Amino acid sequence: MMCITQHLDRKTKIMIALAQNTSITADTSMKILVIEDETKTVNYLRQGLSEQGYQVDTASNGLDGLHLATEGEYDAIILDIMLPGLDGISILKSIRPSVSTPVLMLTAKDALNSRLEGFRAGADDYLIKPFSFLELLARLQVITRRTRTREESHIYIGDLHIDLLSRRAFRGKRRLDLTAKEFALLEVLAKRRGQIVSKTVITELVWDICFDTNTNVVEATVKRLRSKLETDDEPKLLHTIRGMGYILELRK
Amino acid sequence: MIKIQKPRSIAQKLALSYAVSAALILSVTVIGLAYFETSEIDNYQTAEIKNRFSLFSYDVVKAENYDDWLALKNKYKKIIQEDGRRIYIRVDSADERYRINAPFQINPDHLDKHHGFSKQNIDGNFFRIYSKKFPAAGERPEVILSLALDAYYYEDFDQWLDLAFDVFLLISASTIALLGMFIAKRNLQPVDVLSAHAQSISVSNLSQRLPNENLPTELQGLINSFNGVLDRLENSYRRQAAFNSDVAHELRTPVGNLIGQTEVALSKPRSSEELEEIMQSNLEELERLRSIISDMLFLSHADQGEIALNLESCSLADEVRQTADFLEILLEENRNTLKIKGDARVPVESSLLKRVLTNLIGNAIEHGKPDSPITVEIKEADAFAEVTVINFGNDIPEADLPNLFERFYRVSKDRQNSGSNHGLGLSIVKAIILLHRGDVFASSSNGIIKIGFRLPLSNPVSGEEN
Repeated sequence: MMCITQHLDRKTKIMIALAQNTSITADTSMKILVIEDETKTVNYLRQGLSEQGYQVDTASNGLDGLHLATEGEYDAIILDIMLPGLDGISILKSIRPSVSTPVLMLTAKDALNSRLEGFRAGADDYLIKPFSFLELLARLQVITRRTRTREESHIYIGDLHIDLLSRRAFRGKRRLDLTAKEFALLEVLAKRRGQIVSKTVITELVWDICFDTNTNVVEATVKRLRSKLETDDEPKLLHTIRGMGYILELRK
Repeated sequence: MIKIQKPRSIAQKLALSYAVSAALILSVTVIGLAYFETSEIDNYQTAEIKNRFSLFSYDVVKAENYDDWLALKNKYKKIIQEDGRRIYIRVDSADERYRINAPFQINPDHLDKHHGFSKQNIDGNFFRIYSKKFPAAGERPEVILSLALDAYYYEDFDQWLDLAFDVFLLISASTIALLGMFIAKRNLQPVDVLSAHAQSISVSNLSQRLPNENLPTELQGLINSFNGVLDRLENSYRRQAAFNSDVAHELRTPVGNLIGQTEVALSKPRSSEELEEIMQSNLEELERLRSIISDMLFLSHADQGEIALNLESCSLADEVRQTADFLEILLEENRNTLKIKGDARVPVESSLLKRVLTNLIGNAIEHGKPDSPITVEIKEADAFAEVTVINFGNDIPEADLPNLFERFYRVSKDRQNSGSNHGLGLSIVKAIILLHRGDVFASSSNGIIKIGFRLPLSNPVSGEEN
């Protein structure tokens, strides 16, 4: 799903492939441990994750983090590399292999080597600071493997009906005349209905492109899709969240 | 065994080599001369002794009876002194009466061996001897007449000459060594001067170069290379410095917007819709910052060669087609058609190559004329595959072409349109191509803009597995 391509092991890649074909909804009972010393980061992560339905514990130094990671029962650990007391890599090394909780590493500094080091020490994924919260959410969903693996063949949002098998979409009785790319975009948004999907994720899932393209391809394609999806007298379904991405949902 | 490496002076080495060669050549000459001189002296002595001998032999041949012989014997019995040189006469004969004694001996059997010549030491002096057999005549029986001539004078001369040669050899060799040392030192003096110059170069005067005038040709090559190194260092140092200042400048605008906007927002109570609006705007600025930072990190990793390449043989035309597929909607909106000419297979990291192609074709769409074709030409030349993106547009000024791939370089200096485009696109292209050991190029004339790159057909970079 995310562009972590060559550093991921096979299992994760299979998981990503699975995630691409299934609806993704967070399991609300999940417990997350955040080990991070930067107060602002901790605060927004706690708030953001709580609002997404996760239960969040935090540790602001390495030793507390190690203690919680060893003793607590978590579904995932978000682990910063630079920590006072004990650094992230050391924590990871001491909890592996007895603790198999998925770990998402956060790296800030010129971290290419520490990233590799992190993978060697057993991290499941990494994010380079600065990162977007949406990206963190998306990766968290991948590594917790608790995503609902529900095979869907039809998706209904308001009067929008998407037939994933025959690759056709209808708005009420009106058949939408979509190109392959437009349909792929609609599918990505529909499978994540009610969630904000970032442009980065769209670029990766629709075009399999994993770098900042600095182009308006996503905006232009969304515009086209929207013009076909929504006529003036129909309720809006495809919303732009400025600065973040797009969301497909019926707003009351 | 520990070998102590002494610092070696070129001047000393040269002087030593001169001295050794001179000594060798002079030795050969001197040995030749000595041999020549010895044989000359020998010839002279031979002639001299034969000359004297003939005076005596005349008497001997004539003395055919005993009376004559007695007279002759009395005449020769004493040691003959001439010019301070001693002569001994000896006559050997079967008849005792026909003998004259002398303080040396003759071996009659060896007479034929050296044509009658021999050498002997008599009373501690060196003598040359000549002997000849005279057949019996009249009453006189067969006799052997020997004449010993003092050769001391010549031997002395010979020895003296040898000594003179040796001394000459020694003096010449050491003079040549000293001269050589002097000449070498004198000619190597520019090296000391250069060294002093080089020591004075530092970051604060990076534009200083080593003087190239009045230098021996041998040193000019070295100095040119060294100055070339300085050029490149200065260039990259200045670029680095400029880059830092560009980065600061580039970050200042969005950060300034963020501070200002947020301050304005907070200075009065706002509705939640207003606040939301402001935060969304902030997020856009922040996204721009994030993008600059991630591109800069990418460039910095690329500069330090920290990006591991997973090279796979790819068809360039396929990669262009996939990129065009991504950019299709933009091509359509700008009513550009994309033509792909030719193909080549090269070892590349596909995701990095797509980034290059997206940047180049994206630029061609963004800056090119609407309603015009964009051509991607792929051809093989020597050991390289060359990919050129050709589009119609406003010519890039000649002066801008060399800087096109520099970081944050923009042809138009106004920062319009810099929302999505922060001037790092082409430097990322260059960085990726350099990682693949290729190079980039750009040209522009008559409204046709060509920007492209060359990649080696077989890449020396091996994919690193981590």
